[in-house]
Amino acid sequence: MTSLGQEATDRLDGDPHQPARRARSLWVAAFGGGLGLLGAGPGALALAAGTASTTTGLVLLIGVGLGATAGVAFGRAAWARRTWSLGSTALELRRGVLVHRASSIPYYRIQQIDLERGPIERLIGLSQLVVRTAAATSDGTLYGLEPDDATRLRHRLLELAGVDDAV
Amino acid sequence: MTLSDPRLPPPPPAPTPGDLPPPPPVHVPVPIGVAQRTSVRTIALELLALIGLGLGLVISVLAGAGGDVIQLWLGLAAILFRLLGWWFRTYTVTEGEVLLDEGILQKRHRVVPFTRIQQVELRQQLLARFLGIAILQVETAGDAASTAVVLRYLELPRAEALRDHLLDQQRRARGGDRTRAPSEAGFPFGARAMEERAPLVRLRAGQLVVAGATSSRAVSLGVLTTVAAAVAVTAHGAATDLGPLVVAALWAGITVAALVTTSLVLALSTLVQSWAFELISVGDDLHVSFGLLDRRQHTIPRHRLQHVTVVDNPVRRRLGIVAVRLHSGATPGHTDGQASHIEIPAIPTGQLGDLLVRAMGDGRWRPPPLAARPLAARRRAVIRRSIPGVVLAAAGAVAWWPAGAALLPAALLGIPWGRLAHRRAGFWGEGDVLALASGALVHHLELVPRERVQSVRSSASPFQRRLQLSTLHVDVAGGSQLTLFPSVGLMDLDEGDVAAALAGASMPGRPPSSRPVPPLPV
Repeated sequence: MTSLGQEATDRLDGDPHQPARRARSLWVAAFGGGLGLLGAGPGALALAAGTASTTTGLVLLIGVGLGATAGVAFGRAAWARRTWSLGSTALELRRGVLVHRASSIPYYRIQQIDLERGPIERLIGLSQLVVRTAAATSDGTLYGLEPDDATRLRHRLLELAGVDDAV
Repeated sequence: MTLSDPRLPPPPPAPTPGDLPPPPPVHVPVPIGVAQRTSVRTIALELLALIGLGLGLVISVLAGAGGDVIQLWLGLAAILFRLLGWWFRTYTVTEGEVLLDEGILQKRHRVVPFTRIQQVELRQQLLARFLGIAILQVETAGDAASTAVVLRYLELPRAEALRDHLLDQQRRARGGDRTRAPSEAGFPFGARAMEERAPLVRLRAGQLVVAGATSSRAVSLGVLTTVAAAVAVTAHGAATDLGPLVVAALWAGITVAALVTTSLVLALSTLVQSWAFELISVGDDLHVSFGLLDRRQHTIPRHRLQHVTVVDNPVRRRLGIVAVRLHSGATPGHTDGQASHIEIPAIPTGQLGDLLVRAMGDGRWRPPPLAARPLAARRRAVIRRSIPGVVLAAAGAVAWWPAGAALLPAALLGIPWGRLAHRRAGFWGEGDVLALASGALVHHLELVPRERVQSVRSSASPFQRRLQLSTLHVDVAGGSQLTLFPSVGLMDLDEGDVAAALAGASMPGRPPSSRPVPPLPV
C-alpha cells in the first residue's frame, strides 16, 4: 500500500464530511434559480393580465429577488446540514434543513453499495454512493462525493462490512 | 380474565415424547443436480381450464351469440402455450442452490443460494387438493416478484420433502446445524421427523369465530355502521316527523342488525381462512398450517423472523385476547400479501410472553416494559389530532349555518383521541428487544430484536425540536418502498432516547470484521 493511499483512506475516517464544494454551488444555483422563477410568478401574472406599470415591474423584481435569496440560503443550508461520517460501528448520515434527519447504518448490515453518476453530476465531476441494506427503507445516500473519494469510500465500506450475515 | 376461560385456547401442552404427531409416512428422496419438471398433474389443471373454455363456448352458442371460431383458436393457443411452458419449466436442486429454468423463447434462469432463503411456503387451492398437488414458493429477502422461486405444482409428498430439504440445507449452509452428518443431505425427511415437534398454538372453530367477530375490521365496521345508522335515522326522522322514541328504536334496531351481520360474516370468513389453525415448532423452524378451501403451510426458519407485531382493540382487550404477527424478511409477494408474515388470529394476552419465548426458543423475547413518552408529546398528540377535526367542523358549521353549529363539538374530538393515543404510546430501547407501542383504539406493539435491526433513522421537525422531541424509525429487513408503513416507528420521543437508539444501532458485542485490510486502488 502506498502512503498516498493510506493518507487518502485516513481522511475518510473521523469527523463528519460535507459534500464537495461544487455540490454547494450546484444546489445554490438550482434552488436559487428555482425559487427565483417561483418568485417571479405574481409579477408575471400581473404582466399577463396586461397591467404593465412601474408597480408590476417592482413586484416582479422583488419577487425574483426574494425567491432567489431564499433559494440561495436554502441551498447553502442544505449543503451545510448534509454530512456523513464513518463511526466506529456504523455509517452515520445527517441531512435536512427544516426537518432534521439522521440515519445510522451498521457496517455489517450493508448488502450492496451502488456508485451512481447522473448527467449533471458527470458534468461537474461528482459521484453519489447509495448504501443499501436488506430493509427497503434504509436511508444511505451520500451525495456530492469526489469520484476518487467515492471509489475509496466504497472500498472502505465494503471492507468494514466484512462478511455479511444473510439478514 | 383467567386462562381457563372456555373462549380462549388452552395453554399449549408440554411436548412429551408420547404426544408427538406421527412422523410423515412417505420418504421421498430429493435428487441432487437433476433437472426436474413440475408435476404432470399440473396438466390436469390446464385441461380443466380447457373444459371451462368449452363450456363457455357451448353457453355462448346456446345463448344465440354464435360460435366464435377465433375465440376457440385463441383459447387453444393459450392452453398449448401453457403446456409448452410446463414442458420447458424445470427446477434443479444442487449442492448449494436451487435453480429454476423457464421460458419457451425467452429463457429465464433463476438461482437462489440456500443461504438466501427466507421462507418456504406450501399452498393448496381447492382443485389442487383434489389432485394432490401443491404450490411451493421459496422466498428470499428483497422483492419477491423478481427473486422468489415458485414451483407450480408439485405432488404434495415431493413438495414437502423438497421444502424440508431446502430448509435443512439452508440451516446447514448457515452453519447453524451441527447435529447431522452431511451424508444425510439427500434424505432429510426421516431425520426431520425425529426432530422435536412442539405444538404452540392450536385454534378450535369456536376460538376462530371469536377471533373473527372481534377482529379490528369487525370492530371498526361496527363503529362505522353505528354512526352511519345514527346519521341516516336522524335525517330520516327529521324529514318524516317521527317521534324521538321511534327514531331511537329504529337506530338501535339497524345498529344491532348491522353489528350482528358484520360479525357473522367476518367470523365466517376467519373460520374458512384459518380453519384448523396450528402453529408448531419443528426443530429450528416454525410451521403454521391453516385454511379450509385453500390449505396453506408456511415454514419460517426461526432465525429469519425479523419482528413481531401484537395487535388488539377495545373489544379484544375486554376479552383479554391479542393477535400476533410474526414477520419474516420476505417482501409481500405478487401472489399474496400474507406470504411475509404468519398471523396468529388470537391468543390470550397472558400467554403472549410464554408463546414468544417458546416460539423463538429464546428467553429474551418477553415483551419489555414500556417507558411513556415525554409530557410535551401529549400536547402535540392532542394538537395534531385536533387539526383535522377543527378544520372539518368549522367548514361544516359555516357551510350549513345555523344548523351546522351542531358540528362544532366534533372539533373537540381530537382531545380524547390524542390523550388516548398518548397514554398508549411508549418505547423501550434498552435490552435485547426494542419495543414501540402506539394506537388510540387499536393498539400495536412492535417488538424488534436488536440483532434484527438493519438501520435506524430519526427525524425532527422545527416544532419537535423546540420541545426536544424526535421521531424514531427502525428499519427491518423486507418491506418495499411501496408499502404504506414499511418501517417501525414512533413520533415524539425524547431527543436523547432517539440519539441513544441511533448510536446503538449496531448490535453491542458483535465483533468487528477481522479480515486483513486489502490494499486500496490509488
